[in-house]
Amino acid sequence: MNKKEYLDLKVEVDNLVIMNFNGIITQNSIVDLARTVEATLIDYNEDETKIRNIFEIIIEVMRNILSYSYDSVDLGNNTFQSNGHILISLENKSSEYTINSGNLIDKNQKETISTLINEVNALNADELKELYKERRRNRRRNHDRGAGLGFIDIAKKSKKKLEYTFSENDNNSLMYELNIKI
Amino acid sequence: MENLNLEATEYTPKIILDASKNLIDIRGDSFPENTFDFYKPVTNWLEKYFQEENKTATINFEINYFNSSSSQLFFDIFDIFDEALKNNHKLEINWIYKSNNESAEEAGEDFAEEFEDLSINMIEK
Repeated sequence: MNKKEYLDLKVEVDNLVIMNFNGIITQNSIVDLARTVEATLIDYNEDETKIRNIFEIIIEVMRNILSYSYDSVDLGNNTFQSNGHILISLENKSSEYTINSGNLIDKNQKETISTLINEVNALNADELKELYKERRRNRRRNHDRGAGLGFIDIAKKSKKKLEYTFSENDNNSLMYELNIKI
Repeated sequence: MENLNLEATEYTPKIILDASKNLIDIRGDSFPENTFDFYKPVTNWLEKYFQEENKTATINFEINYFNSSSSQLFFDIFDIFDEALKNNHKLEINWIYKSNNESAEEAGEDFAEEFEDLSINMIEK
């Protein structure tokens, strides 16, 4: 085997792609995708708590895309669809999982999203737990869309800092990517 | 008063609200597309149920996967129970979780802390 072939092989072995989805997101596709990832991780004999956390992070991330994406379409009856991508991978068998997602957002949302993520990134595990409880308490019987708990929940489960980027798309929208390690 | 029974779906729990048996039973996964819309009939039923006097209700929660907006709705449901307790209804609340489900266990403990007066029983399965 020459060096080039060896490198190609290594890339394949060391970059396990658990799920690579790029397309139309609906409530049903979210559930199908999360269940498929769950089944794959069960096959890998992954720790049950980790599987639960990954499952619930996928649901949070994709639900956010569905509700807040720039190209989200209201299908009626309060159901939506939008475009987005999600890539779940593992660098090698002993490493952490990466959950990378991307979708278009309205340019005006950039500040809101950065503020929410920076807020959770500045907190340790105990502080995240307290913030989660406090926010939930303050929003009792208040049902504006989104309870503001999603990023806190993701950060609690990930236990790592959340990474994000925005890149230019057109005059009104940006491509927003979120990178979660777990 | 009429019962409210909802079968489980891939993303919503099985719900039994039985006034004749004084049973409130919620079991399964919870990540509906519109959490508030989904739980509205449930919170409405509970509010109506506790309008009657001196109820003695058994309440079981056994939640597997759930999302953060469901957690908000569970909080609101506990808030209804908390009010019911203040109005002299008698409640037995069981938060049931599988031994390996840390997030369900932690969620139950958090609710027990938030609503100390409710004396939520943590039941490991």
